[in-house]
Amino acid sequence: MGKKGQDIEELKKELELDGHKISIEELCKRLGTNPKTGLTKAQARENFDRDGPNALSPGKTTPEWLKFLKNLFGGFSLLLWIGSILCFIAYYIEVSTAEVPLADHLYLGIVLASVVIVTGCFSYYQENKTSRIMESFRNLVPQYALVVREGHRLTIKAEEVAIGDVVECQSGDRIPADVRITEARSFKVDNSSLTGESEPQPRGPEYTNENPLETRNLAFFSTNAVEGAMRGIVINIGDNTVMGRIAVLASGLETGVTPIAKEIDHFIRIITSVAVFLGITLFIIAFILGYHWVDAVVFLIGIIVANVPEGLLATVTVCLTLTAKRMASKNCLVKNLEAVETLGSTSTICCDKTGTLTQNRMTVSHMWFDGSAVKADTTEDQSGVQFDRSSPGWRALVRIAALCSRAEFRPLQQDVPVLKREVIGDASEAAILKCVELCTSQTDAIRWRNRKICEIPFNSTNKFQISIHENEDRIDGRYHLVMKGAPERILDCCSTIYVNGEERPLDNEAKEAFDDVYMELGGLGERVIGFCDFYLPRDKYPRGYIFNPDDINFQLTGLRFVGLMSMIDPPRAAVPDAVAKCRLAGIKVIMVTGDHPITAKAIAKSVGIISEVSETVEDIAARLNIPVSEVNPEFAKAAVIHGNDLRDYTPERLDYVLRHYSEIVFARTSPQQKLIIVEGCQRKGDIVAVTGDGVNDSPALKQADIGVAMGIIGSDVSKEAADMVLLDDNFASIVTGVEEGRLIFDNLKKSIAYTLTSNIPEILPFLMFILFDIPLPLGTVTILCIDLGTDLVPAISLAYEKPESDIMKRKPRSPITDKLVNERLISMAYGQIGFIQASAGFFTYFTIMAENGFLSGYLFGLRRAWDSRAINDLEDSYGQEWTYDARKELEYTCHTAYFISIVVVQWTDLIICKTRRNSLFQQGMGNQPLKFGIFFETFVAAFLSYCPGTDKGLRMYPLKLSWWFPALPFAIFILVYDESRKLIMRRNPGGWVERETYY
Amino acid sequence: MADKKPEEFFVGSGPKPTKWQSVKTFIWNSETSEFMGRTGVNWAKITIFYVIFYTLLAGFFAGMLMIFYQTLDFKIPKWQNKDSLIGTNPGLGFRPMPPEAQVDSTLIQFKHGIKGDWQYWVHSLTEFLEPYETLTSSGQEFTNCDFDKPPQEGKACNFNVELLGDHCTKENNFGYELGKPCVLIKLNKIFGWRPEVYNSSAEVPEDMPADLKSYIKDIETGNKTHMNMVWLSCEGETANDKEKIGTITYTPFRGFPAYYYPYLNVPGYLTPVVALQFGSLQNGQAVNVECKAWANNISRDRQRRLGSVHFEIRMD
Repeated sequence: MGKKGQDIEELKKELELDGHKISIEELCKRLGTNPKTGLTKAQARENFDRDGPNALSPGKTTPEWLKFLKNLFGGFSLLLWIGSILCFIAYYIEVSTAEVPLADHLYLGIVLASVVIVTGCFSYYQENKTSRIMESFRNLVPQYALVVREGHRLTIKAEEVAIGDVVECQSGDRIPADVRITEARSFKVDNSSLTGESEPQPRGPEYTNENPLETRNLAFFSTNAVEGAMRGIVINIGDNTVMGRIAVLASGLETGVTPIAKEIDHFIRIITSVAVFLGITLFIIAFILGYHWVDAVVFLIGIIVANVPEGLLATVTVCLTLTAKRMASKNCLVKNLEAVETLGSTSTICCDKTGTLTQNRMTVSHMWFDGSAVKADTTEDQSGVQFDRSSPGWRALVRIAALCSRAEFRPLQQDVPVLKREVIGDASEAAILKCVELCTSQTDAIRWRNRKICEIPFNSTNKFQISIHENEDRIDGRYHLVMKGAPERILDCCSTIYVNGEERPLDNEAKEAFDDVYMELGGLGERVIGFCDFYLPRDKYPRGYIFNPDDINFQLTGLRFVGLMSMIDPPRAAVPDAVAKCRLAGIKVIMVTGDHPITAKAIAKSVGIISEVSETVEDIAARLNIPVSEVNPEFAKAAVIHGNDLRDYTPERLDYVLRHYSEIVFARTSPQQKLIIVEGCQRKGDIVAVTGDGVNDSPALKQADIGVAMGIIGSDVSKEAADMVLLDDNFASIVTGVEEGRLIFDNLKKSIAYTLTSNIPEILPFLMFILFDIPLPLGTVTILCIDLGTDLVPAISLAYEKPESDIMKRKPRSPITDKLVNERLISMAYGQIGFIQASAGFFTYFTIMAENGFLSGYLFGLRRAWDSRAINDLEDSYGQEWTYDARKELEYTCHTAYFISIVVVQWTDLIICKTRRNSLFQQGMGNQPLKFGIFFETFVAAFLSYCPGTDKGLRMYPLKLSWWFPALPFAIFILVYDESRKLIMRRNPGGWVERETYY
Repeated sequence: MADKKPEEFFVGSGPKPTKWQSVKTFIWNSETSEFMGRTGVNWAKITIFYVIFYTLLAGFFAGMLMIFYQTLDFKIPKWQNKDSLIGTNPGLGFRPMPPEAQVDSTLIQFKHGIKGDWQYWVHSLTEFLEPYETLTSSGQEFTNCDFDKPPQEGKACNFNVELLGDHCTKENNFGYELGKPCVLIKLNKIFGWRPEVYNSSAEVPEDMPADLKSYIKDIETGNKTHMNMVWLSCEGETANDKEKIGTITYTPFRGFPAYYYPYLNVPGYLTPVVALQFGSLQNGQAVNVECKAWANNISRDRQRRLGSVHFEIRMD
């Protein structure tokens, strides 16, 4: 941390710049430059040496070998390494002391080491999809720049641009640094990567806003010039530019550990503690019992191997991968495996408006004509309301809308549905065009019949657009003037209003009606446009009259008002439902947008982020007709917070807001603020998902527990910074992701419960071996066969288990109390089912021993003689005498049988692990992979036992058929026991059984 | 929000407890009277549950074991010979064996003479032969068998320890005092196993030691009934050992008479033994001895100790 950490904190603050406020002369004085001739070469050199190159500095990265080592020694690896080293030591001792050294320990050591190395490589590979955030940022940076130095134009590498340089840009260029514009010719930049505004922004030398991002006289590093040309002075370069700050912030943010990684850590800690505790205890006991220390070492190896579920991490990874695949098929592409589960634990979603919640296209939503407002259809599939299309008012409005427009469909799109066609022109014109085309489907014909004579395009000072057309009614022959623009401007030009086919004077009554509608539509956050027209009288404007758009020679007053159209970027059809599902699932959806508060609030209301019944402080104030300051904030459930207010908030105030309001909309937010909001939620203990598409979102995406980027409109940088990509940009897909994430968490619990259960029958043989001196019932090799062989596929198959109840109707899990592995799971797996399994194993062991001549009682205390190579005539209960080899063969057969009996009891363990509360009969056996798992493990077990050669390699011996059965009663016992437990639990919800055994 | 400070709504969590404090609270939480996260009642409940659970499980286990034991005969092993893992190829055993503390050793080491430390070995042999003597004197259940007189069914053959020779007796301290130690070799008992003896000297395998071959030839020409025998050969394991081992005398026979087999767990069954007496053992040198049993259905494998046994003997 230290300096780097401070820097990051610094970067999270708002951008402070005055380069746009001060005069150009002052700026030049400060930077020692000249707006005409630029820097001198010497100065440029000097500045370059002082500030360094104009490039994004690469983030600090951990060396690859260190990452690899981390994977090699993390988790269970350390324990297994110890086990492996102990094996080598035991082998070494054996080689140096025994005449016929057994290679067993050598093999075991090698196997353990390979398990560690393979798992290590596996997780290294998983982790090594390194984020290429910085690279993706570099792709945004221009290669060359045109600068003026000593009065000459030079093309230099963008890196060499220095502060104070005078640069020139024209359309198509990328801005090489943060530039204060001194001269511009109809210059427009595409700031979308920085601010998310998709429309090109005009830029010029005038200072218009205190906010550097909004003022006109600044152009930013790496944004695109789309129109015109400009000249300006470089005020910031490299990492200090607005884009540079975002890049450094995004790549420098320390991403926290994912919730599932924390859970796995927690669980590894539990298992390791148990292993170390047992290992050390037994080591001491072994010494007290007078074992040789070499024996004690061998016991220790056994304990370690038995305690560590070697295959579990692989199981978890595979389960997560399976879910990731399933999610990918539902349009959630998961980049970071662990993020699969993070989405399931998510308790807050900070959601963008544009594109995610909305369709990301302006659509006409309301029209007002003939004195009444009608709702236009805004649904994606045109399933919405219809209205009367024959009224004269409507026809007049449509005609104006069709004519007074510069927008056109791109050619060759006849087969594409109207709403999906691409349009040349700005967003509102496109919306109007689509609306007209949808209603009349003859826009082109209208335009052709009414040829355009003259046009005044829209500009921001007039706020209207006018065009004059030949009349389609040739007999009439009057020129037709059509006009659209800001409603108040349009109304000012009018003296009559067209209602139900007749012109009426525009009296106060009509004006009031207009005001009401305008306010209402504006209140819905819609962009309202007014339409009017006028048939120019023949006498004043005869045929062939030359209209002059620059020096207006026609009347612009006394026009006829026709109607209004209002448009909005409508919400996606599936979003309200998805938001409702989130609420039901206890997930708070916060809207964070750059839009205006009114629009944001309207969308929030229409998708249910602000529910119908809740009110903001302002709503209450309006309802009670009192000032906002007198409203008790306790009564408001919802809040719409403006970015400018948020800027003054202390962290405590933000915490308060996040805690207190259940429905929050942040409007007009900057990228830094988005980051602050995410951090605020995280401080509260929430697991936060953030959606974003722009470069400016990347810090927030990185900071979030799970960053969700948009696959279609998202920038490369945001996709790199995110953990997940929504391929269809649809908020509803997140809900699917949440569902899958929750399901996999439940199923991982089951999977772990299943895997851990077999630990007890693996550990107990060693305990009995040491404490009661019986011949070893289960060897280390067979333990590995269970952990890495038979248990794997069934454990993975639990990932396919369907949910037991509606998982979207419960609260998100609390990361503090709802652990992946809790004491109840351990109690069930270790304390109860594990012991039943161990009984099955020991029963099988005693059976085989007794059937071969060693009755159970006789085995106790037999170990030393049994394991002594010197004794070639060990007597059994029937007086038979066994050579060392024969009884070892018997012992290994017992190992095999014990192993097989674990497989048998794992059948039913798998079946009971399918559910945590429901009965097997409620859940059914529909899980095909699980059935396959049972057959597979049985097949593997039979293979290991009967395949010729395994007796030499693995010391696994063929069993008599009857030796498969001793474990069966115990398998049934498990089934009956657990079904009864679950029955009691269901009958008695919240009772003792549930509190103690529901994991 | 007027003049109310919003922070006042915020419920503070207070200073975070340190790790040690939280551990202490976990072990004993005085506020809730919880020891390790549970109250006394809670602990009692879970303890009772587990006691009941394990009792139940133990009961089930014991029940299953009892049912299983109903299927067993305590005189006759369920699986025998080929069906059992004991197999059909017996190994050999030797007596005396080193004390239990040196369970992994096969070295018979002693100092001979009056002041020697041979007492353990003599004691061990005496103990081993005790059943033979008690049976000889009690005279129950066994019969005297001979090569032409196999035992009746359900009876065990007597093995007369007096036949073990002059030196290999308790009275002579089994030769240990005199420096001519006796070691007893026996063939492992396998329930129901019958030896298939060589019917003629022509059947003996190539790798049989020459002296045993010629001995068998002598027997064949002499007392042919004595051919009904599992032969025994004992030698030094390496060339060096062979030099040092000196003379070995086998008593009462050079093998195990076949009429003692099969072993059927008849009460009082005595396994036949062969006493090896090392007549001229060199002092102060450990000698590796390997004994092998010879019959048609015995194969010998030094590594797996099949049909053979290994021990070292060192006399000072």
